[in-house]
Amino acid sequence: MSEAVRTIEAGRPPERFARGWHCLGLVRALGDGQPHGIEAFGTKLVVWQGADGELKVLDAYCRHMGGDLSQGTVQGDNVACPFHSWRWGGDGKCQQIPYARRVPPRARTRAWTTLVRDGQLFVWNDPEGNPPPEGVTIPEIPGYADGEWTDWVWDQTLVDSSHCREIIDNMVDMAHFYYIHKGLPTYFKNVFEGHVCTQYYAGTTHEIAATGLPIDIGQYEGQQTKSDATYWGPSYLVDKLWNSYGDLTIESVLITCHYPISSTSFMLLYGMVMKKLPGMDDATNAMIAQKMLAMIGEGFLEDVKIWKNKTRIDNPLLCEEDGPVYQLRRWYEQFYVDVADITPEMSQRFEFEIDTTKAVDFWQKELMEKEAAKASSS
Amino acid sequence: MDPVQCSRCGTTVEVSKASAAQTSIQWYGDSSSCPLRADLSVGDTCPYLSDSIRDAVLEGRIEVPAT
Repeated sequence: MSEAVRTIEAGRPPERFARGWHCLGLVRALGDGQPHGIEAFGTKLVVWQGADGELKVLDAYCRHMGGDLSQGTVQGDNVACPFHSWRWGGDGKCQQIPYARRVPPRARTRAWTTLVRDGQLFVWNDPEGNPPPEGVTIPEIPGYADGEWTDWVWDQTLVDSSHCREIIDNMVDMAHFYYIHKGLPTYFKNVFEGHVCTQYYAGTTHEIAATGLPIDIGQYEGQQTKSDATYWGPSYLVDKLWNSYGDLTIESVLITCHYPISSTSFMLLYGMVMKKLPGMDDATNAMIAQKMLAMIGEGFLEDVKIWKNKTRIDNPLLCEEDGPVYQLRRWYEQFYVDVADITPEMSQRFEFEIDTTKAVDFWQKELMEKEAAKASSS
Repeated sequence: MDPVQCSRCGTTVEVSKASAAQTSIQWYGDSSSCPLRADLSVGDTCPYLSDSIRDAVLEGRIEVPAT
């Protein structure tokens, strides 16, 4: 009997970019009166805030002679090209050519539909050119406008050797939280429905597990870390987090989002607001949030290291303790086909809860052995 | 996967279990056939459906591999 060797099917990343809302960054960074250039969606965009206070996004390359508008200047509501000073409005129309008697009637460039939500700027990408459908939007953070949360702490990192599907895969990847992020998941569940994808995660830490304390398996409530994370479309993950340290629970909202640059590179952005801790001033609250984000950022760098060195794989070989990778990718596929070609399988509700019993048992023993080895060698 | 009908609203889903603690649930059509769905957060399983799945396991209508 021959034992067949499993072959990796690497496939090819899609040429097109996902349909959906993509966060480009914070309003406070992009709305400083200067034009900002952002490489995204296989081209370059220019973002600026006009005198009217609105953030506007256009293709950065001027339709006149190809100048880069993001190297130009803001003039009133418009952006002026550095090459010949053609003035473009946020609606994509050329408003003025200072040295010409009139503007050519076809002087129109691509204007991107924008959305500002809780201090973040989004653009709508659709290869078919349709506006965002009713109900496909970015949710507000309850209490953000009332000052219950700290201001954003925010960072970004360029991932220049992978398609963004790699970060989407993390949604169902229970075991990587132990091996890459020093977590110990005790509860793990995914739900896909329509354009949203959710992960429920609860767990403890390596340090606590190493002490040999009994761990509640399969419980969402009462764990040191609880996370309720939802992708609203293909690129914007809202993660409600509760981290408990003894009697103190820190509540935060972590955003992990990206925009594609090419089919093999993307910008990974991550930011956080933290529910202000009572009895602490704003500066202390901001410092805690900044520290938490820095730790999360280190975690992402560990992901990036894996992505840089791994191969693309279309046919992952799974065990029962792995999450529903194939169903996740079936869900994700809906953003890469025309709306008319979305099949029921891509958007029908699917729920998957992992049995973490064996994993938690093994990981805790491993951590306790490491701890014992450390104690005996010192 | 085996069909399970919710004892409360009558919606039929397909369920499989790889162990006592692992559950996969595939819905068909629009999940709004569940009257509770709109009030539950997206990640929550309807408690009545959970009960119906538990009953199906107890009655042997869903096979659960021994661990």
